[in-house]
Amino acid sequence: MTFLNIAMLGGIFAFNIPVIIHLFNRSRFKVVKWGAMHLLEPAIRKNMRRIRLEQVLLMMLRAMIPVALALAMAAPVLTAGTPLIGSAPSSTVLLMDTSFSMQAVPGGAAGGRSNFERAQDESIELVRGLPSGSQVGALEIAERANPLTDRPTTDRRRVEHRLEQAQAGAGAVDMAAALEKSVETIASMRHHAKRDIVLVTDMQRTSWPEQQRDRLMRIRQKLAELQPRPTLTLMHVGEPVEENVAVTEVRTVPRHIVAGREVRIEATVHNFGNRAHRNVRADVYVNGSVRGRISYDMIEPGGSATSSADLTLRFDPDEAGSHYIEVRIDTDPIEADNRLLHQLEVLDHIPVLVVAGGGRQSGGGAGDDVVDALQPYAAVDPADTRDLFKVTLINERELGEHELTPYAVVVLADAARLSQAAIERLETFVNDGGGLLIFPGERVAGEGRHWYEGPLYRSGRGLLPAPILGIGDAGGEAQDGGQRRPVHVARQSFDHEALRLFNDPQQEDLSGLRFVRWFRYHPQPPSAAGQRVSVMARFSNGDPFLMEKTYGAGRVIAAAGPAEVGWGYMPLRAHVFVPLMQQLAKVPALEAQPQRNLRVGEPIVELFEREWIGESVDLAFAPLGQTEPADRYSLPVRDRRGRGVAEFSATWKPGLYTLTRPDGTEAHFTVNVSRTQSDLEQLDQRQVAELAEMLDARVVRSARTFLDEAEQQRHGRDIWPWFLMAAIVFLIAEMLLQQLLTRRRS
Amino acid sequence: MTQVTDFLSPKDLTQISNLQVLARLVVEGFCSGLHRSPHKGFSVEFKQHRPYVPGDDLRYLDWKVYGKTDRFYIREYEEETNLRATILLDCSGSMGYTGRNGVSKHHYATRLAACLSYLMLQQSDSIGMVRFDSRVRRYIPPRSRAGHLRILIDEMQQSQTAGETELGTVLHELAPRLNRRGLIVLISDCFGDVPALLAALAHLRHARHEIIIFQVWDPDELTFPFRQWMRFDSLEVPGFHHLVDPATLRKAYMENLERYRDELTKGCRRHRVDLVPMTTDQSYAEALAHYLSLRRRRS
Repeated sequence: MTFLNIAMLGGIFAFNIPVIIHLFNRSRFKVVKWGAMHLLEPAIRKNMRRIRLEQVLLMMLRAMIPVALALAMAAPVLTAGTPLIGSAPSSTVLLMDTSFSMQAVPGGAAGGRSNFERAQDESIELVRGLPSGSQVGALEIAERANPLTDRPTTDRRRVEHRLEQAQAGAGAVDMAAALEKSVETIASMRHHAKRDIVLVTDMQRTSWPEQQRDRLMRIRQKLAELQPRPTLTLMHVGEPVEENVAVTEVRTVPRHIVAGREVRIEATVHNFGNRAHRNVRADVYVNGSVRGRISYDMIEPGGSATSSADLTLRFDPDEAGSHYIEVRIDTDPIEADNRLLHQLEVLDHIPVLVVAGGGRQSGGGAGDDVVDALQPYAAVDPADTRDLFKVTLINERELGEHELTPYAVVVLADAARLSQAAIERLETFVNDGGGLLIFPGERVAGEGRHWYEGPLYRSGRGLLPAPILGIGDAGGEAQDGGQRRPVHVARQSFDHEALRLFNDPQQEDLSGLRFVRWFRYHPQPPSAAGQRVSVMARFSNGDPFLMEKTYGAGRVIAAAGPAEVGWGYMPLRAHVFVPLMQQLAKVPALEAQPQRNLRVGEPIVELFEREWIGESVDLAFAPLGQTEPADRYSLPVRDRRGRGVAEFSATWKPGLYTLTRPDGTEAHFTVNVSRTQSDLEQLDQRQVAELAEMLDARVVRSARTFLDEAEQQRHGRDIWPWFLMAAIVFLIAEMLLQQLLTRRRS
Repeated sequence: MTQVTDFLSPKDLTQISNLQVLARLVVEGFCSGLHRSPHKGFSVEFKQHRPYVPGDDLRYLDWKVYGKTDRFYIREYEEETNLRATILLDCSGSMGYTGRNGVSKHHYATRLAACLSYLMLQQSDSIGMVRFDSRVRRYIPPRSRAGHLRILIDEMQQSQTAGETELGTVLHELAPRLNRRGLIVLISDCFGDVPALLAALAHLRHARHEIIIFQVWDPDELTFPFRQWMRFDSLEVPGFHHLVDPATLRKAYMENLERYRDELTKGCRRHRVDLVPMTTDQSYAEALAHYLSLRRRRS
């Protein structure tokens, strides 16, 4: 016999309590000098044996009550002689793999039964075959383990019904997390001695990554610590499916779409199978309507093919806003990776304010170079509206009165003198999510340096990312007779979103940018709480070239050199300067918007203007492959550092989430399953055996096998109800005896 | 007329340490409450004539009858002197029990004896006293003079409880010494062997003694009200005790008590002995009333 809650056995010592009370009462006797002993003594002589017997019986009953209760609470399990008792009910946690790989149909025959349908059948048979009174906790496992019933239940019909309703395709499965959840669940089910965890899965290789080995070992340890120990069974259902082609990526060229400009759709398809696929076609849907087709001539086994759609989209200015596209193939039954949703944000334009120093509004200064870099089409033909940015140029004196709210980004091009009011406006603007680009130049090095180090830096609390330590001069580095050797931007792999473009070998890198003079920023400046300062790019001598600082909801990027010819020749390197300026202006403007192309489980986050705080927005979910919303949610807009934020984290199913703003406009969020599970390769027998050994689990291929083996196994039977019954019997007997004695006394 | 003693319980009267004062208070209070004075109606009266037999005291020859009839007749009177009463005061250990009202049985018995003594002497009766426990400790012959009360009371005040109750033995022992018939007032709890007691009473009755027994109880002995664990230490046998849960024994105790009282009552009735149960919370006047009632009945 074992005990599930052995600590409760300590309660057995409570049997002492009645004895102690008895002895205590006996020790607190009163002494009376008595005369009528001739009356008392016969009574004692005649009744003492009976009284003693009654008292012993009463005390035994009283002592047995806590003993029986303690034994019941310790949840004893009888492990011997159970065959005589019969088939004992069990506590069973059933984990059914609902990842999209389960949609695979062995053999690929149309109308064939998928591995998921087999898993459903086996799960239902298992639940149906459990002994009467068994408690079942069923969970569907994909990106997370989701209970099919509110709590473990003995209503097996309800569980069967839920299993019938379950659907596969809800993302990739995290086996370690699922098993951890199952351990939690089984630990909460203490009703039966026989406890099982059954994992019904296709044993897909990618579900058991090597990195999870330590977590799996910990799970085995946790299981071993439970008393009585649950048995873990891996039910390997379904057959290997080797053919799967998946749409793995959809992108637009260019990436950021401006109304009126053409955009090309590119989709990558990966062949996870063992044979080549020819003439694969993918349909492209835009906002739910077929708009074109992408063709792939040949996709080799294990290879990818990228192709463009035979359509070029162009959005009119009045179509600016959120759109979504879906690329769909039909080479196999696994819908979850045959379709890929992608959200597009069509921009009318990005409004940029360029503040030029020195009172110039135009005429070849830093401001003009920046304007040309941001509006390259307009620079050639002012009537061309294809530019992403719409630039307004003002001089530094005008900044104090200029309204900044309409702009996404402000560029300070050698602006050296700003009023206090202008600085405060800039700080508010950046704090609210705006972007600020700083290109200091000759004027800043002269009259404006103290101003930069003062109000703009404010000992780390201002907008400037780092204090200026001095002016670097290439002449100071001369090594061969005073000849200047300019510094250039170090060649490196950039992590920053704005500079990743320059990691592309086809793109001219930043090392072509050379400077003979530069501002030497402090490389590791102290930053205020909640702010983060980083170096985006460095010069060849290690001095920072670009520094970034987060400030409130926005960010500031400061360059070490001017965006004009003089200290360097950056504007003349148009192949670098134009994309660099575009990226530096675009990233602060666009990255302020949260990501809208998500994976299952990633949260939906949408930002709102301050005035929407406290309002509610609607979120509709249409599962992958459906056009009509299946679920609707109401999300509150909460205040986060002065901005409204609506969040939704339960994105456990792939599909399209459409958020309707209070002004009626829509924002689309696409949730796709991870393609890591598109590789349908299953563990082979040896690997399954190794896995089972590691988890101390057994492997079965069907529910029937599981039930037959369970029938043959000797499991304990919990007998706490017997002890509880005994406690009740003792209690009643004690009451009756007490009543009898009281009546006799009176 | 209301007397001061009407408001005094035996417990209150224990505050009066002077037994003589107490006896006077009780008796006077009791008597003045009666409609008829106990001092009247108890006088030496002519009873009958009987023929003279040799040996009769010639003082009692009725010479007038002899003159008329020429025969000798003796005049017989009710009693030449007043009543000869002897109080047998039990001072055995069991009389030392003090109940929850704070009055010990011995205390109550001595005061009752004092009251009776006072009353009898007031009636010109002779009163004697025997103090005993397991054996007779003191015998004071009956006297009727007024100063005798002082002797009796001194003896009562000096009495202490000790020893076992051996009433049968004691009464048998006393019988030869009480050669003149009279009234025997036994103040005792009568604990002990009932048949032996009844035999002794029969012995005394055979000697033509009138017997009245004031059986002194403590209320605790009649109700056995104990609930918690108690150790009952014997008052008569030192070191003898029982540690018991009295609630479990009460029923059996009460049955024993009933049986004992029944046996004693029937025995006394059979031997024409007046058995007056008294509890230590009863007023002494009730005992006096019993006594006077007996006297009237016997006369």
